[in-house]
Amino acid sequence: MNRIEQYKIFFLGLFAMFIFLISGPVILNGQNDEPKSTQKKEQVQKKARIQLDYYNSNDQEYIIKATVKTKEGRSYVNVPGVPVQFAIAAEIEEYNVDLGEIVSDASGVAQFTGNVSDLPRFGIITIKTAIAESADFKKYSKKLEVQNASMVVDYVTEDSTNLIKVRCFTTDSTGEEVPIDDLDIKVFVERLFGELPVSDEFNETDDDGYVEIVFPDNVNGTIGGLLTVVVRVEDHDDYGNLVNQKETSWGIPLINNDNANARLLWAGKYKAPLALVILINGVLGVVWGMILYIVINIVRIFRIGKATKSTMQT
Amino acid sequence: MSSIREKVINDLRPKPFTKLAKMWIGLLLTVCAIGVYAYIRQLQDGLVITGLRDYTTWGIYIANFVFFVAVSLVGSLITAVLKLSGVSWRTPLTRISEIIALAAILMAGLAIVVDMGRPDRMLNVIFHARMQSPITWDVMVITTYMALSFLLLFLPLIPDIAIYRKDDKLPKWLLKIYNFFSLNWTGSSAQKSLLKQSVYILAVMIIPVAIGMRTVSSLLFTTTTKPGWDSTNLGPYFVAGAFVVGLGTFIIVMSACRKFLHQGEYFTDKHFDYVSKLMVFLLLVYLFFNINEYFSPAYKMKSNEADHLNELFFGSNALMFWLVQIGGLVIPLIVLMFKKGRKPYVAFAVSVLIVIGAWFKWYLIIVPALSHPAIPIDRAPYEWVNYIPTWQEWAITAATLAGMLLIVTYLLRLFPIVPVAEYIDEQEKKMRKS
Repeated sequence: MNRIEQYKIFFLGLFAMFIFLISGPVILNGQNDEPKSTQKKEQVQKKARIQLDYYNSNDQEYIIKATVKTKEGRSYVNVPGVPVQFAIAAEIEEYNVDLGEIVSDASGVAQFTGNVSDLPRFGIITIKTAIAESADFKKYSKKLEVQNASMVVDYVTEDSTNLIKVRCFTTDSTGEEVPIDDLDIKVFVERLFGELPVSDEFNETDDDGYVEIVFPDNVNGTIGGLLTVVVRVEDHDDYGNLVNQKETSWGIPLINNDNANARLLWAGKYKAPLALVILINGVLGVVWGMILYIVINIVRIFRIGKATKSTMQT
Repeated sequence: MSSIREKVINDLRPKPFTKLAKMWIGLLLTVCAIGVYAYIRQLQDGLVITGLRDYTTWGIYIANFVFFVAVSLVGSLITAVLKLSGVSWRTPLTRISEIIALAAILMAGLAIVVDMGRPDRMLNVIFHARMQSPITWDVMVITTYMALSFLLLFLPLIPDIAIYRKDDKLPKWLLKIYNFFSLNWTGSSAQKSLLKQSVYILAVMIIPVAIGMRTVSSLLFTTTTKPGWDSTNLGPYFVAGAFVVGLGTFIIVMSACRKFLHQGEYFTDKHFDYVSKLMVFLLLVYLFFNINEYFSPAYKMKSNEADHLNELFFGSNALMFWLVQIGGLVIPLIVLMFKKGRKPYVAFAVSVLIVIGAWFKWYLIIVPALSHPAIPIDRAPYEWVNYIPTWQEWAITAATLAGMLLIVTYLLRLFPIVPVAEYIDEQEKKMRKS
C-alpha cells in the first residue's frame, strides 16, 4: 500500500466518523417507539375483575366507583373501555333500580353519581355491577352491601381553637337517628397532588356517634389562609366511604415570596444575575477578541507573503 | 544552507508509516470500530444499555471526559508556562505537547457527547443555555480552549511547513497541504514579527484559560453537596492532577517518538531528566492537594462523608483507591526522585503508571460519591446502588482513547514533530555565540 492509499484510508475514516456522528439523530428519529410485544397475537378471552367502592359525599350525593382490572403477568392492570352495568337493590320497599351502563375511562374507572335522597334511608342496600361477555372478557359480576349512613360535620372556632365536630348516625324504620359508635374519623387537607393527613391517628366516635377533633394551627394555606378540609370515614365494612369537605380559613396565610422577576442564581435563563452575565461575557469577549486578533494576524501574514511573492516575480 | 539547517531538515522530515506503525493504526481502528458499534447500540436502545441508573448518572464516560480535559492541559504547561519562563530546552518538546493537547480536547468534546441520552439535542446546550449553570461555563471554556489549542499548534507550524513545501522527498498531496497552510510564508521580518506576537499572546492567554477550564470542570462537582465533591479544595486539586497526567502522557508520547521515529538526538536523556524533575515537582503539589482533600473530611468523619470515605479507604473501592494513590502517585514520586529513575525507559514506565492511575482517580472521584447520595432512596434496587459499567461503556470509552492516539499518530506523521524553524534558529544562534 503506498502512502497516498494510506492517507485515502485515513480521510475515509475521518469521513466515516463524521457520517457516524451526524447519523445519531437520524437513527434516534428512526426508532420505532412501539414495542415488539404489541404485534398481533391470537385473541384470548380474559377474566375481568371489578373493585367496587361506595362514597357518601357531604350527605348529598353518592358515588359508586367500579375499577375494572385484569391480570397481566403477575400484576393487575386497569382496563379502559369496558362497559359496566350498574344496579341498586334494597331488602325493603321493593326497591330495585337499574342505573344503566357506564364505560370505564382511561384509568379503568366507571363511576356513577346519584343523590343520597334517592336511596332508602334504612336497611341494607345492595350495589350490583356486571360486565357482559364480550370478545375480550368473560362474564363477571360484583356486589357490595352498604347501609345509608350520615356524617354531619360542623367546622367551628371556639376560643381561637379550630374544631371539627362530627356526628355519625343511621336512620331506623321509624325515622329515628341511630348513632354509630367506634367509627374511625380521619381529617385531611387538600393539596396539589393529593390529601395531606392532619389529624391524630385515632379519632373514634363515642356512644352518641360524636367526636370532636382539634384542627392543628400550623397548616399552611393559600395567600388568604384558605384550606379545604376533608373529613373521611374510609372503607368501612358497613357504610363504605363517608366524606365531608369544606373550605375554611384555618390555614396559615401564604406569604408571597415570589422572586420571579428578580435576577437570581437559581432563576431561569433570562434572569441570570447581571454581574454574572457581565463577568462571563466580558471574559469571553476579551479572550475571543484576542483570538479574532490572532486570526487577523494570520490573514496579514498571508497577505504580506502574497505581496512579497508578487514583488519578487515582477 | 548551513550544515545544521540541512541536518535538522533531513532528520525531521515527516516519514511514511513503518509496518509496525500500520499495525498500531490497525489496532486503534479496530478498537474504534468496536466502539462505534457499541455507540450505535446505545443510540438505538438508549442509555439503558449502560450501567448508569438513578444513583450513578455519571459513570466512566464522565471520568473519561475529565481525564481528557486533564491531558489537554499539557499544551499550556510545556508550550506556554515553559516558554514564558524562558526555559531553553523546551523547544523540541513543544510540538508534541500541542498535538496531545489538541487531540485530547477534541476527544473530551466527543466523550461528553457519548454520555448524552439524546445527542440530537446537543445544540440545546447552546440555544437554551443558562448563564448560571457550570455546564454552560464548561461548554464555553472547552470551546475556547479548543480554539486556542488549535492556534497554538497551527501558528508555530507555519514556518516549518514552509520549509518543507517544496521538498521533493515528500508526497505531492502533502506538499499541496503544506503549500496551502504555509500562508505564503517567506520568512520576512514583518511576518516573523506578527507570528512571534501572536504566539506570545496565545501563550499568555492559554494559561488562565487552561486553569479556568480545569476549575470549571471541578465546579461541576463542587457546586453540589454530595459527599466527596463538597470541597473547596477540588479546583486546585483538579488543576494539579491535570498537569501531572498531561505531563505523564507527554513523556509516553515523547518516549514513543524517540524509540519508533528514531529521534533520540532531539529527545535526549537530558530532556527526560528535566521533564521528570518537573514531574516530581508537580507530583509533590498533587500529593499535597491529595492529603488536603482526604485528611480534613477523614478527621471530622461527618455522617455522609464517613460512608463515602469508609468505602474508599476500607470498602469495595479500597483496592483501587490505594493502588491509585500508591501506584499512581507515591511510587512514581519516589522513583523519579532518583537520577536513574529519570532515565527514558524508567520515566516512560512510571508515566504509564501515572496516566493509568489518573484515569482511575477520576473514576474514584465520580462514581463512589454518586453511590452515596445525601438523600438515599428507600429500598433502592441493587443496580442503582452498585454501578457496574457494561461492555458497551468500556468499548465506547476505549474507542475515544484510541481515537485520541489515532489523531496523535497521524498528526505526528503529517507534520514535523519538532518546531524545525525555531530549533534551527536556536542552534544557529548558539553556533554564532560559540
